[in-house]
Amino acid sequence: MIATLVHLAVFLLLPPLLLGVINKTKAAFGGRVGQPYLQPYADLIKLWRKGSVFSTSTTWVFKAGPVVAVTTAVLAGLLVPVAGHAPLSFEGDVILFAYLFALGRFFTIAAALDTGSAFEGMGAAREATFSALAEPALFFGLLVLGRISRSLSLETMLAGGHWPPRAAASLVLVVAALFIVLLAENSRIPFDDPNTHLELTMIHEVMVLDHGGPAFGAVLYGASLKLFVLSALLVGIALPDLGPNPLIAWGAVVTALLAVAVAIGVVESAMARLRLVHVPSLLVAACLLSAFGIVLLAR
Amino acid sequence: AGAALAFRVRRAGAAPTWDCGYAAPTARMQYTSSSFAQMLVGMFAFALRPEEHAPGVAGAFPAPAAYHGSVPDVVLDRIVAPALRAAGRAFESLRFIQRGDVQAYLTYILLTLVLFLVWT
Repeated sequence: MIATLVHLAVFLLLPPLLLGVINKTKAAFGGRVGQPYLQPYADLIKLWRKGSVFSTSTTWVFKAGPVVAVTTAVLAGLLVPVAGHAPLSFEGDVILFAYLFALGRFFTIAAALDTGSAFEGMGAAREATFSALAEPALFFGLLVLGRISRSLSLETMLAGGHWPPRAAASLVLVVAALFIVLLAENSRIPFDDPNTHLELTMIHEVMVLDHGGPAFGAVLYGASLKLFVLSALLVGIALPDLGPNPLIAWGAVVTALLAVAVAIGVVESAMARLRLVHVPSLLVAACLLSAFGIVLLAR
Repeated sequence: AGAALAFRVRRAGAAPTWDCGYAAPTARMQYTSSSFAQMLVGMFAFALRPEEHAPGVAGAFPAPAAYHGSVPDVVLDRIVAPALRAAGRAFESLRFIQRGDVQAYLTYILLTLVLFLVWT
């Protein structure tokens, strides 16, 4: 019970801090002081207090997009075990986990197409294409975990880091592939530039171009929740057994999540966005990494 | 009171979709389903085999040109239907068996019975 409450508190309150850490890392690389760490919280509060303007060509689908995005991110977060315990887990929940993201993505794409603008349509087409290529990488990685732990429940898969030594090589490949999937799913460089709404970098930022006010705040919050969930998955694979002390376990997990945020900031500062025609190559490379992880396990 | 203030119902305004200042869009400039699928179709063109007719423009004063593209169903239109047509043509040559008069069919039954008697 206490573990569930702590999980919910951290899950609902920490994600904007990850965005703040990413921005601070990028500022440090640029020799600037940068935004405060808590700036995303201030942004969310500011957006919540604004009014909304809805386009005359949109319907309920447009209003449902941000709602479904946040809801699916919250539900996926309930399925991911953080510090060894997930509030909600059952056999086969890894499939629900992957398809909650797909549901959120579907409604975001539908809301983007609902506006009738060519900008949002183009971003929606690119998002659909890149997600179609990134999903096999995610599934192959989850398959490796399922093969090692012989179960289809996320809590059993990531239970306390009891990895057999023969699986170490596969897990290294899976961590690399899942990091690329994390960058793709959360629209980070090298797939998308989260700072701009320009035609050059139009994938996720342009799909939400017509949202404003609380809806846009929901979109930002949902994006940060998604970042948290995928980072928690990555951290669950990478960290060893943390021991029974909950303070140490939670402290280690939060530190590891912030380290993942710093790593994302480093990647964003060190490289530019890939040319659009080269993005599928990187996603297929992630698929191949996870597929090799399965091949290494097949004995 | 704080919750009521935070979740109060606010009137929402209405405005046209932002079109980047372009004053006169037409229906021909819209983003259709073909546009939506164009990236994926291009990526998997080796499997989907789209058909495109793009005569292109040539010369200093080119004639009006039109582009037409379609993605026929790979399995149905390119594999199953031609295979069934070829099978139909092959079996045409056996049409002569269906003569229409009862004596021929009785002869077929007699021949089949003789065949089974000899065989077993």
